[in-house]
Amino acid sequence: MRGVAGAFLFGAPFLYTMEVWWKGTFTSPPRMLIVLGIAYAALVLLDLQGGFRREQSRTWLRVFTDSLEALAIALLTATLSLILIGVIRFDTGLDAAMGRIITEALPFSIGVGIANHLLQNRDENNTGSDVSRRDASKHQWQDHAWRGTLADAGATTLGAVIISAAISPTDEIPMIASTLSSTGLLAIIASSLLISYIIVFEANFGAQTIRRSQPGLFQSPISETLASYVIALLISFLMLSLFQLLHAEDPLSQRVSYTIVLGLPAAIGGAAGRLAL
Amino acid sequence: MTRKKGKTSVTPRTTAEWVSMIISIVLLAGVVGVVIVLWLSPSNEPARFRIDRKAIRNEASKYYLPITVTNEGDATGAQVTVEGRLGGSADEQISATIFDFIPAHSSVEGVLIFDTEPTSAELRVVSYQQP
Repeated sequence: MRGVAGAFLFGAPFLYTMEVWWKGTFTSPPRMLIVLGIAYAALVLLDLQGGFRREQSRTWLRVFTDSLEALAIALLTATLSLILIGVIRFDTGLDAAMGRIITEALPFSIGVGIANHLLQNRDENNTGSDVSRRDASKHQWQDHAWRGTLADAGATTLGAVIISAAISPTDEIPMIASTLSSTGLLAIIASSLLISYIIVFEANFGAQTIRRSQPGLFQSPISETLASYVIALLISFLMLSLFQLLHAEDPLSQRVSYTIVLGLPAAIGGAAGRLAL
Repeated sequence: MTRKKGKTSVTPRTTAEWVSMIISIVLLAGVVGVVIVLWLSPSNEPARFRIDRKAIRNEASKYYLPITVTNEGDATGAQVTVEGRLGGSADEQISATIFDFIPAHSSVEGVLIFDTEPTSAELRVVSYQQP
């Protein structure tokens, strides 16, 4: 789960870059193998680096097989997300599909490696202070609930703005949105919610137990995920209007589809924002 | 730097870890296998295009001719320009469209629009770029 979260955190900006898909369409097989090799080498290096930090002794075999697993996760997430945004379809030729998956898997696998080895597992370290914090929260529930909600909403907004501001002026949003059917849009909504949930609550990036017990509107994991997604959609819509991809006279269907397409990276950014806070 | 429970010894794998490792290895072997097959299969044929027509639609006295362009070669074609010609030299109509990319063995769809019934239109790929 941690690896999957990392893949999306770092891979999302590359996923919404058409040049990456285009390069994939005419990558020759030997080049594909080289890209896979580079991704694997990066994962092994990240694993070794992480191992030194934790002062863990690990066998070489373990390092190599763990990196193999990380690469498989990257390929799987890259494939799924490319299918999701309609870059790979039934009528895409096999070599174009493989090229796109493999080029996209390079940033995804670096994301997996960074998540697995460099980002700290804060939860394990501060279980002691966690208990005292929970006690304190009981005392001033009312006050804390408001502040917690505001802080979470603010962090989500900030994260969503950072990511969506970078992606919204680009041509990828109309490109992706125009190829998607309504079932495709529903799939994107479902994945946005799922990925944001995984990043915050399943990936163990830190403060997970604190988050789960936090009071406020963002109380339960499900309602927090839903509320953050609404914020992400709102920010996406604002950004699209700001950068004039959406105009007042545009039909409703276009506004909805653009907003949902940009909502995916915005939700990922929002989830990252809540973690950073 | 926080230290995690002193020296950790090498932990043995659990069944779940074994399963996930085996799945990963199978998956990766599959990917590498497909890439090698693509490599070994002769892929020197230049881009070659086939144009298929679909049912003509008539709207507001214009005729919409949907086409599917399939690249049967092994190389990607960029800026693939498809042109439809209709009628004789006196009342000739030309309708054209450009596809950004048609990867090898992929197909894309487009529509050509004419003023008169285009069943007899002559369709051809006029030009493309090699990326």
